[in-house]
Amino acid sequence: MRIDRTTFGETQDSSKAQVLDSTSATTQAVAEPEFRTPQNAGYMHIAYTVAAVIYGSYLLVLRRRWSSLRQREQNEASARR
Amino acid sequence: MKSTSVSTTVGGSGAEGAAARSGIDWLLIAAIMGVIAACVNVLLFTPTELRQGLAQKIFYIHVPAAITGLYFSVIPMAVVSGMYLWLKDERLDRVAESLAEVALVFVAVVLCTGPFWGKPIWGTYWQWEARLTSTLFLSFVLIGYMVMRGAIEQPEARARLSAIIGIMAGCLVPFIHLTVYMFTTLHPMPIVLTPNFNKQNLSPEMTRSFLYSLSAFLLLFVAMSRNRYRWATERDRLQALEDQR
Repeated sequence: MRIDRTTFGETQDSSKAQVLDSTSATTQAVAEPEFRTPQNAGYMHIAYTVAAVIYGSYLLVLRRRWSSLRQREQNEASARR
Repeated sequence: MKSTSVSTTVGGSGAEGAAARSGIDWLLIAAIMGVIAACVNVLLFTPTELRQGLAQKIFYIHVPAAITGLYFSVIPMAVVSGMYLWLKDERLDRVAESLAEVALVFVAVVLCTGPFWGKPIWGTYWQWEARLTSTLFLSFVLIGYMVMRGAIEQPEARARLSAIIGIMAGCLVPFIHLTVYMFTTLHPMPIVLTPNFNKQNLSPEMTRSFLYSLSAFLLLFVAMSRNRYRWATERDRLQALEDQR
């Protein structure tokens, strides 16, 4: 008699013939599920939104800096006048 | 007369100065349009990868941002910083300052988009492995660079110390590139910046979309750096005028 250890730790006698009951026979008869491409659009949308927010924020920072610089420029010009 | 000299000095001269004064940067607008077009191309016209699904499309912003941020921003910043230490030209310091800030923006995009690919593919947003941790460390170095620049008021000392930090940041980039070869990492091996790059790494449609995205991100990087450099030049010029008074 040969004892095999299964994945889950229990032992079984592999020398005995395997008897298929109706349930296991039904399971084997079902075809393997077709491979489906994962639907993970949410992650993609979040990543693109985050990138847009980061670049957009930096562009706003640049814009604010330019307007602040122009304000300083006007103050300097009026002070020199 | 004095006011006239200020208004012509600040904002530059000629067509470029007029554009700067009007607040419109045509290169920046073209770059933004290019990035939007590249994203539309990726989202609507690029095929979806079979096993990773739509999450794979994060690749088209993550990798161009990484290539632009690391290889086109941080390495030139280190080179320019080294040149500053040699030539002591303040224009080089301004270029390095501009590249460092734009590099930080691109590295932030890399660090923020990667986890949204990692979660569905690896099963985790973050792993403390070599590639991710070293890139995070680079972002801290760049933040330190910016903070240090804001903290030191003396221009020469500020430029010299930032040049040293800039060179250190540049030394990190080859290390970050090689981490996937030197350590066991979750991060995929390079499929673009590799000597084995060939058409089999990506399908022709994906390669085309990737190159569109990379070009658009490079244009955005050039436009942002140019805008930032021009702002720094005008700021220093105005500061010199204020100091004269």
